[in-house]
Amino acid sequence: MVQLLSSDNETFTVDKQVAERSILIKNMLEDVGESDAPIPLPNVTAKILKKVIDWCEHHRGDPVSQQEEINDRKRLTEIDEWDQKFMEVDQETLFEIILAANYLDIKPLLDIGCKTVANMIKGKSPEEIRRTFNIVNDFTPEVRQFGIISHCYFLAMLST
Amino acid sequence: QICDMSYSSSNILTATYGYSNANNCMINNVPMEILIHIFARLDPISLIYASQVCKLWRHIVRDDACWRQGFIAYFGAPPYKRVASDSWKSEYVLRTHLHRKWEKGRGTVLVFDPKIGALDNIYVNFQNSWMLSGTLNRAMATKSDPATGKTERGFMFGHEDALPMAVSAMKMDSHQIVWGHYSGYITITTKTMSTNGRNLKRLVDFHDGPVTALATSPSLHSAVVSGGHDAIVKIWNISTGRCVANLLGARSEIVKLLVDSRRRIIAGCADGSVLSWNLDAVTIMAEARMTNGNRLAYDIPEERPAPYSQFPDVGIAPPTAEVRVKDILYDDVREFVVVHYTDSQKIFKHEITTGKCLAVFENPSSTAKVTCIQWDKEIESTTEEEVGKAGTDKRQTRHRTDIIAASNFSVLTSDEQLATPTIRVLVSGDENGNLCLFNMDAEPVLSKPVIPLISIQGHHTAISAIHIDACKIVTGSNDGWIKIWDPISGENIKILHNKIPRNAPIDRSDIDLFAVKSIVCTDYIGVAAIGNQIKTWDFSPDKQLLSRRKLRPKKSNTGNIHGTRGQLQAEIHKEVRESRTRLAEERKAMEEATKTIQKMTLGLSEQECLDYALMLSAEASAQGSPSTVPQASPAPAPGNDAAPPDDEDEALLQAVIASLETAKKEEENSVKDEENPSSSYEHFSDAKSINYYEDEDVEKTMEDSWPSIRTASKRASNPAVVPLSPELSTAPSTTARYNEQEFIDDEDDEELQYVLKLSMGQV
Repeated sequence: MVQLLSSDNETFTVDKQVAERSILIKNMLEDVGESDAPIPLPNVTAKILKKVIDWCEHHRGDPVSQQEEINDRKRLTEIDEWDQKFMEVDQETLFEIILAANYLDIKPLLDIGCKTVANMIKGKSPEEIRRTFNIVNDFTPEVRQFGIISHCYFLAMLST
Repeated sequence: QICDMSYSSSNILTATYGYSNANNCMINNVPMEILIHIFARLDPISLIYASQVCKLWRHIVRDDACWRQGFIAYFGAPPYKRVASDSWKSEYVLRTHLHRKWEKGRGTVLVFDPKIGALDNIYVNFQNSWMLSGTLNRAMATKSDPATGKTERGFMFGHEDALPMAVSAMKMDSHQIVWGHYSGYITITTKTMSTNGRNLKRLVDFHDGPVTALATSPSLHSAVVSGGHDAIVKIWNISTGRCVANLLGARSEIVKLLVDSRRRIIAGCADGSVLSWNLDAVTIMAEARMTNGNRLAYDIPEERPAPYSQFPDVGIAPPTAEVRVKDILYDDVREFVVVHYTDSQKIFKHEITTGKCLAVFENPSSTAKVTCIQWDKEIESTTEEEVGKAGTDKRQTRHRTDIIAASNFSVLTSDEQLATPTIRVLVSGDENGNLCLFNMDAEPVLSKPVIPLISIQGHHTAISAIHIDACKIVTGSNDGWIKIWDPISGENIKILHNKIPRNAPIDRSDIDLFAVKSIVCTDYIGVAAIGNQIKTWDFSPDKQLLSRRKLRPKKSNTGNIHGTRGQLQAEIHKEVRESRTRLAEERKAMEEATKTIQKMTLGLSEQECLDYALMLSAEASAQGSPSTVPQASPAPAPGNDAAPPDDEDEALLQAVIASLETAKKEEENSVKDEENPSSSYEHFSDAKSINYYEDEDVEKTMEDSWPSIRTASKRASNPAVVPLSPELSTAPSTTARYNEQEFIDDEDDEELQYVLKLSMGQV
């Protein structure tokens, strides 16, 4: 068992196998060796850490291979049903999970997070994207126009 | 009113500087590499849209690495060979485009029968939309149009008396058909301008036994190379009909001939050996012409010099006894041959200058014999005609032209710059229907055979024909099915069935009736010979053979709803021109705006302005009667200063009205164009559609284009409020400067130039 300490000083006790889904923790454990002291994770809040541990618990049986992604185009967008449910959170949590996954170095989770965001972007017009993510349109009209012209050709090709 | 002011001022600041509100915009708070990670999972259209969202996104998407990542995420691996070498963006866009065309294309698939029996040989000229199909069995050939399936009346025969008797070999190219007869002589059908058609010519000398192999070379005009059962290779001068050179040294029947007109002639023999004669066929031809003149053969036969003869310089022995050479591929740039023997699972690569074996290719998971090999030879095509042909094919996909113009080798070099070397792929098909992709330049490790990059269980029966290019592999099998594959992932893109009615009166055991004999493809169009029939398919976007439009421009233009490529290009042209004038106008307006500001501030510096405003407000409050109507407040200003502000106000009012009007116009345009946001193609016909993408609320657009004047107007008309928000006084001038800087952004200019270049390239 491994103890994890979140940024707001909450302690979580998890299986070693589960905790080692995170490459960061795995490396830490390897460096430190066996010890009962909780591992501090200053970049992750308790709420997010709980989510991440949930995910790791569910995916504990998954093979930890790196090369499986190749040769399957569908994996570009398709997300496991459980993961889809898991990712049904508000944007703030979603991005915090992504950041935590990045920090903890859990590649599959980061992938799922990115896929979720990518699916949110897909098939939307720029204005819809802006609205979805609360982005302020900071283009001056000239820049916008140049951008449009430069994309004319590609869009023409893509839409035929 | 004060609240409103401060709100709008913060709005302007965020809009101008791209500082997004940290509280509600989560996505731009994550590190850039995660954003790139996210973008890598987007398809090209979404990426282009994403680039229009905000500056940060645009900055990320503009980086070609982003497109490369997207490409790799989409296809699973970098490509073996680039379709477009200028940028990964165009690579990604073009490849997905072609991919979709072949995968989902509902183009015409046409099957027709040239009615000459089992087809053995086809030659297709996509440019002018004609093709020749020929059969050995009856020594006949016929010309047809692959787009319509119409076959010309009148056959071309290999025999002088037009008898449908079998020949032993035939070779077709753009201007002639060469027939090799069982009796050893050779006839040539040349394309002539005369209405009576083709004149058949018989060469004077002959082989001792059937002619078994024929070869021509586009760079070697009026010459034919033939090999016969008598193990002699002969070079013929077509115009005199004479044998120019005898190449001796082979020990058995010649099976396959390859001509590199400047350097060598390569022959594959029935005993499995591969021979190479190092000679310059062009010079030999020229010398023969010099000594012999162009006199006809029967002039003075005695004076005829003996033909030049030579023995082979390099001989490659077969790996085992009892094999025949089945096929040879020759690379004239790196000078090697890839040989494939009958009844062998291995493919051998030899250096042609020394005969040394460089590599052996083998699929270790299968013991089936290789039936067919092919490689992507487009990159090696050196003869002018071939380059020209490739160029015209590519013109269908517009921006590839500039790459081709820079010759084929530039593809290699530019790829090296992008650190993704081109892999030349060798494809083999075996008798079990397995398809293997090999890296042709692979160095064998410890003399072990090179194993395939990808192996695909493709067909149920033996593969009989393969076509490969950068974006697809087309295979045909003995049962007449044609399948199209993605070479990167090995995924099946499309299947073309060969449907034969259940009770059709044909012999199902006759492989000649089913097998796909040869496949010729371009980007969108393909032609295959299956048994007695020709199958053509056309997935080009306008579902028309380019050439037909060229021949009859008026007819095809009227029938086309989407507009032809030329029209589209003209539209882009027009749009570019329009946007240029528009930009010039906007620049002028911008200059006027800055002038107005300068005039309004009376040439005072910002600090002075602020001081002046402070003074005014101090006076106003000193008078003890803060006016309820804001417009009245400038009135109590000192008398000597009173006149100029009035003038300014008027000029200002006009400027504001003008700006509102332009904004309104823009609004109208964008509203008009918002109706159909998904299909951008049709929108290009609409000259105003350029505004279509700015489909945000017009309020913001106004603030974007005229922030300086609006804030200035507020400040001038409400001098009492100014001290409450001192940052406002700096806002207008900074904004103006900022806009100007944005305006002369070099990169944007480059992009415009790029688009211009693209559209010009087609003309």
